[in-house]
Amino acid sequence: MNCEEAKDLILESLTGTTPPDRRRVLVTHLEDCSSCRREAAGMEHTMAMLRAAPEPRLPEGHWAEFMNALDRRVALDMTGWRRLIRLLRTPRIAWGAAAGTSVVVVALGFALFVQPFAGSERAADESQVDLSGVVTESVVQSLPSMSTALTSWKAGLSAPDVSYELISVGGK
Amino acid sequence: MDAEDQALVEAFKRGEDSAFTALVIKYREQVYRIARRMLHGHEDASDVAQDVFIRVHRALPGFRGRSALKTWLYRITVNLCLDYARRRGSRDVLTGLKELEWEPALNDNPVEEAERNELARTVRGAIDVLPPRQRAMVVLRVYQDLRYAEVARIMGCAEGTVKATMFAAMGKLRKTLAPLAESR
Repeated sequence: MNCEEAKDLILESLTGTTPPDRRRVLVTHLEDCSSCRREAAGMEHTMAMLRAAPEPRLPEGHWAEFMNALDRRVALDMTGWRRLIRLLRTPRIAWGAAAGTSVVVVALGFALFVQPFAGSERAADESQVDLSGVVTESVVQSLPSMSTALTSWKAGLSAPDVSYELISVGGK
Repeated sequence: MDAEDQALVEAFKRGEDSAFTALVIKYREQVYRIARRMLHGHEDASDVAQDVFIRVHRALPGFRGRSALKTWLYRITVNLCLDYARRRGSRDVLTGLKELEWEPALNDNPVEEAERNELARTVRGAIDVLPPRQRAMVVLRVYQDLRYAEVARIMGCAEGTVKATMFAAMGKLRKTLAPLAESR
C-alpha cells in the first residue's frame, strides 16, 4: 500500500466502515510510515472533536408545534385539484372511477350506435300503410288482377291488418 | 427500501393520511438535525424541515421506491438547505449562529459546560466556513453516520467524489480546529 491509498483508508477507517483485511493492511503501513501516522493521528483527533460537539437543543414543546404547523400547511397545500388528484390516485377510488367511466362509455356507445338502428326499425314500422279501410271486398272483387300483386305485397311489406282470407277471396 | 417505510408509503397511497404522520414522526428528528447542522438557526432548520415534509407529501403518491425513502428524504433536505443557504447568502446564515442553543451538559459543572460551549462554537465555526456541499457531506458522514455510498446517492455524485471532498473538508477542519486541539 502506498501513502495515497493509505490516506483514503485513514478517513474511511475513522468511522469503522473498513473491512478487517484492509484495516490490517493500513495498520501495517502506518507502522512503517511516520508521515501517514501523523496524518492518521490528526484526522482521528479532528473527527473526535467534531463528534464531541454537543447536539443542538430543541425548545420545549417543539414537536407538538411543528406537527400543528405542518398539518396546517398540508391542509393549505391541498388545493381543490390536488385534493382531487390525491383522491383519484387512491386505489379504491381509482377502481371506482374506472368502473364508473366504463359504465358511462358503454351507455354513450349504446346511445350513439344502438339507438339509431332501433329508431330506424321503429320508423320502418311507422311507414307501413294502413290498408284496412282501402282494400275492401268490393275493391278486390272489382280488381281481380290485384290478387297477385297483393300476395307479393303482403310477402314484402306485410300489412298485418289485411286478412289473408280476404286476399284469397280476391284471388279466386 | 425498509419494510416499514414501504408499508407506510403503500398505506399513504391507499389514502391513509395517518401513514404520512407516522413517516413524519419517524424522520422529523433526523431531517431537523441535518438542517440545523447545515443552517444552524433553529427557526431556519424548522422551516426547512417543514418544507421537506410538504414536498414529500406532494411527491409521495408518485414515489416509485427506486431509492430508499430515507435517501430520498435526505436528498430533499440537503437540496433545500443548499437552496436556502444560497438564497440567504452565507453571511446571513452565519449570523444565525448567534441564536444557537445547544444541549445542556449532563452535569451542572459550569467549567465543563463552558468548555462544551466553547467546543461547540469552534466546531460550528469550522464547519460553517466549508463550502456548502462539503458542509453537507461532513454533516451526512460525521453526524448522520451514513456510508460513503449513501452520501454519494444523496449528493448525486460518485462515491470517489465524496471521498475526495471529505478528505479535503477534513483537511480544512483539521487546520481550523488545530489551535483548539493544541489547547486541550
